[in-house]
Amino acid sequence: MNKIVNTSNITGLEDASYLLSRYEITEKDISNIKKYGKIIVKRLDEYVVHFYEWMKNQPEYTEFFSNDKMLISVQNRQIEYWQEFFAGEINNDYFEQRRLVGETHARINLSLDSYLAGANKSMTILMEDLYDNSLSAKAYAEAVASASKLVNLDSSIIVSTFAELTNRTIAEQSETLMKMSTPVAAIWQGILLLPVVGIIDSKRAQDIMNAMLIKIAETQSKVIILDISGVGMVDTAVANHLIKITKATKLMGCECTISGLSPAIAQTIVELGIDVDSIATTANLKDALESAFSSTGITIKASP
Amino acid sequence: MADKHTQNYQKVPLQVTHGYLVASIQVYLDEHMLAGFRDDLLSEIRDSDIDGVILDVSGVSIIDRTSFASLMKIRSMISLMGTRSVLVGIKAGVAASLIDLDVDLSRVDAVLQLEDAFELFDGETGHLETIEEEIDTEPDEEQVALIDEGAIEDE
Amino acid sequence: MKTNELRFHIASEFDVKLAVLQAGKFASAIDSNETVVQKIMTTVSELAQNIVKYAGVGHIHVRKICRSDIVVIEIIAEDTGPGIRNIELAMGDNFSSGGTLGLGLPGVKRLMDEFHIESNAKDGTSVTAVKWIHDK
Repeated sequence: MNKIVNTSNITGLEDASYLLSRYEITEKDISNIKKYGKIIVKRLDEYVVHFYEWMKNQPEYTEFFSNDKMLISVQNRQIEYWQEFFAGEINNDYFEQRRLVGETHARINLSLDSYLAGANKSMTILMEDLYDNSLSAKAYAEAVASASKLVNLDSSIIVSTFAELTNRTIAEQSETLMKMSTPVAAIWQGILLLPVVGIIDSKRAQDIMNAMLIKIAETQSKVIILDISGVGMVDTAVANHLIKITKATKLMGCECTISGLSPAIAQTIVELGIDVDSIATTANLKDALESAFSSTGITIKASP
Repeated sequence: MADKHTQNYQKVPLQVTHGYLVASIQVYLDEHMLAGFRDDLLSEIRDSDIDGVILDVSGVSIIDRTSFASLMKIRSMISLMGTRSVLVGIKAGVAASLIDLDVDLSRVDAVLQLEDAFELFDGETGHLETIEEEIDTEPDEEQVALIDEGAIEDE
Repeated sequence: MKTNELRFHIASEFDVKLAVLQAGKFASAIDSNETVVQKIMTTVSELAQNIVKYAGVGHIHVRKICRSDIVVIEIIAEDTGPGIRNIELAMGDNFSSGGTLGLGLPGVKRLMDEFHIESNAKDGTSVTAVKWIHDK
């Protein structure tokens, strides 16, 4: 039960009754599906044969189903899937199974397109190719319409689970990248440099500040340069972080200069109305370095 | 829209002397002119090695509250890009009107002549004249800056 | 394929980042001026963060509109959150109910050329901000 609660949080989907009403699936639809199920469930083995004849010609086939053991296990799950579908017991367990399908696709990187194309093909096989003409025309048409609704509902669960997990993976990857991208380097005795690239959010700002403060303590540096020429966007939150960072370094006896302010960023900061008089800023790294040298008493001379 | 208009406007000449950039503003200050001036100036600061910006406004006889605010914004942008700036040659009438308009002058560095500006930048200890000190000069009849209705008449 | 409209579902800081980056790409395809692109990104960032912070969930639309005399980029931020109790106060500088600089909304107004806000407890908040790009 616990697991169901968790995954439903992931997809943001509500309980069974909500989804059924959202996709306008009525008792009548369920009974249509069950009625058709009586015809088709016993022929699911045939369905699998048809399906994999088609699948063989799909680009994903060799990549994902070349292994026989894997193929059989997938086929069994597919049969289970359609058994559940035509059993018409639409409850949280039913949804949980659909979420698992989305999860599996996301995990093995099988595209949504391949799922949707497969679902489409399955419907053709189940509702047309294997139909035995035993129902009245009206009853058959109703069964097709009802089954379509339920397939749409299934797809929506699978797609949203898939999207959520993919987004999460991207978020995790970018977070890992960002963690790696706070390289504080001592570029001279008493002078540190941290170039920042990308977008600064509050988490990132926290990482930057921590990395800076640790390195300041470690190296007893008097000046730190935070180069933001690679930062894509500055808004009030980012500016606020920058101000806080300089305040924190000052507390440790280290002056912070922020270098790499482009004309675009300078204009944006001023028009936002942010008071940045308290922080030292420069247009480029060269100027920041010059002022760092002069404040640490270093003079550089060209050899004669 | 701004792009096209600024192109039609007279450009403010930007000259680099002794490592300082001198902008001689000799035209009427309005929003479009100031926007174009701002973009040119900031790009110049990015591209050249400049130690200070001198904003020469000796040819400007009217500075109203809005254009003064824009000038101050440009001053902040220059400072964000790590460069000092100073206003040179504010006309007496302009100075008087700014005081009458009650604009915040606490952050303004201003000197009377170009020479003073160079001196100010060269010797870090250079004497700084603020607008408040300058205001003793009586407004010149001919250079009256009309900003708000009755700004000067109140005298 | 060239799209003239972007739509973002905003519910987390990750969504905000995604919207900011995509809006930046979108704007730079319309105008190469770095400052314009920067202002669009900053506006999307401010408005999207407000959604996350105060409403939890909402949407951002970014689109290019050709008016009779001018091309503009319009940014609309919508949510059905609790609404802003006092718009005048929220539009004033340094007012913040979230422990930040409190320059978000007034700052966006200054960055953009047109700004419109509607908010009440029933429908939530809708902000429309327009940047003029160039003559047709």
